[in-house]
Amino acid sequence: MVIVEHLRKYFGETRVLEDVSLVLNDGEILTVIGMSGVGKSVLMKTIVGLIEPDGGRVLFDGVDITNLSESEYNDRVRSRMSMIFQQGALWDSMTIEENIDLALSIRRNLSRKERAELIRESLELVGLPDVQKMYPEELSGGMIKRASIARAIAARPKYLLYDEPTTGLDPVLAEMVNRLIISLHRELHTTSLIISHDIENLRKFSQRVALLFDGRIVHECAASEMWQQSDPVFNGFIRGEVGILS
Amino acid sequence: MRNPVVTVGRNAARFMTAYGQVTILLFQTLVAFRKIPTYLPQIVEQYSNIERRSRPLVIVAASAMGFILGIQIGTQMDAATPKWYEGGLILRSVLLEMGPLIMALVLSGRVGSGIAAELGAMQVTEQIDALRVMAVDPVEFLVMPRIVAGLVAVPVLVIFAELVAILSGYVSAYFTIHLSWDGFMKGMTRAFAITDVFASLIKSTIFGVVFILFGCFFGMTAKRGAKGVGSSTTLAFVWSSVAILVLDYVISAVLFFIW
Ligand SMILES: Nc1ncnc2c1ncn2[C@@H]1O[C@H](COP(=O)(O)OP(=O)(O)OP(=O)(O)O)[C@@H](O)[C@H]1O
Ligand SMILES: [Mg+2]
Repeated sequence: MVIVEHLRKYFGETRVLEDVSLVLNDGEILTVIGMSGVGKSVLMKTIVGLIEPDGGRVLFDGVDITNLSESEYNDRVRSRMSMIFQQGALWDSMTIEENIDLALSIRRNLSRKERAELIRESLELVGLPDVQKMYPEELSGGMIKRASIARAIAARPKYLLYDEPTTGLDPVLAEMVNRLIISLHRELHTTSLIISHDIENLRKFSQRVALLFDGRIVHECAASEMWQQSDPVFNGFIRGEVGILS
Repeated sequence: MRNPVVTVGRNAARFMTAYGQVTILLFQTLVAFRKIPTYLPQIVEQYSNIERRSRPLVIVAASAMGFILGIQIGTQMDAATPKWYEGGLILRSVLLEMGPLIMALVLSGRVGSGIAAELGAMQVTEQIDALRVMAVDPVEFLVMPRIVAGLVAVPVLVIFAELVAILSGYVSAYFTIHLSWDGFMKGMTRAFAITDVFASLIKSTIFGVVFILFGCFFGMTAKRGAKGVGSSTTLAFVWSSVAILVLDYVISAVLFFIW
């Protein structure tokens, strides 16, 4: 379980997160929605320790991980939690195989054979069996997304954080990635936090939804009931009403 | 209008902060040296990158430098000075100043800015964040191999450049004052001091660390957007040039007093 309590983050004068509290329960898929630039990526990066918050804390399986050193983060958090970045963020000087292999170095005592097996399995899970020797620049947008998911699941983390996995993909590919998220969830028994703008399909890949607005989580509910909410800001956002901006 | 005192103060503060951060990065890199065996393939790759990318440029720059030296020194010698003197003058100016300094400036434009652009692109596309999430230390994986490779590659390139410069210096002296090869060799032999070679090696090693470190620093701290990468390469070049010029003075002064 990941518990976020009163998280606050400013960049200089820019207020991004004011007071964010959020719970990610074991086994669920939670989607955070919100306007562009509201701080969704900042929230996710704070959870994995890429950004240091100015206030508040993050509890990871009961342990406060807010001010861990980089190596403590690696041992306690990142060995069990991985992130898929908005643009894929594959290392472009390396082949897909080398990308996944480097990501596997987090698990120190794997033999060469075990690594090769995990690489093959991961690529198979995302439906990309034949790209091992290819470089990221040789892949299409959808393949990059899937390869970056393969890299993130290689070490078999318990938690997966997806930053806009379907943004920028055509509807068919987006649907495919959404299905992939669900199937990974089932097969690897992961707990997932997703940032998404895909309001339409949210119910298909997610159990719960939370709206980040003006530095706070202003509303959360079951994804199946998202269209029957009374919160005006939440309703305005999911229905695309410009009025909520004021 | 901005208050000039505020502007100066703010820039001074920015300078001190960046200077402090670069110093921290240097220490982190030194600590990362214990991972040299793990990242040996990266080190070898970076070495060949640095060498291969800059060899043509080094040849052109070093020959130009040698030609200029040959002409400058040749035309300034009066009839009373023996011609063979020029051999020693070329040798010493190349080893002590022109070789390490000019080559460091040239290489910081080629290698340092290249590193800033490369790491800057990685930074803005979140590849460096991805390294950290996958528990790979960016200093160990990106900075340390470049520094270690530079520790070898830069002095090698500088010594190579100095050989080229000395030879082209001779060619140019031959055409300006008809200096004979024997005379040139005589001048060089008389003036040769092994300490000059050490000075050359010391300077080029230190300058190499400087421009690679600044390249890494400004690349890793590039701001988002296309402008961010562009300004990181400029900053890397400006800062390393200034640092190299200042350090050149300091090292020359120190060596002068020691030897
Ligand atoms: N490292 C940083 N330094 C300074 N400002 C930052 C940094 N990272 C993010 N910001 C700022 O924080 C705000 C929120 O950014 P963030 O990337 O979290 O938005 P987002 O909700 O993910 O938007 P999008 O949906 O477009 O991805 C933005 O104003 C951004 O400029
Ligand atoms: Mg984002």
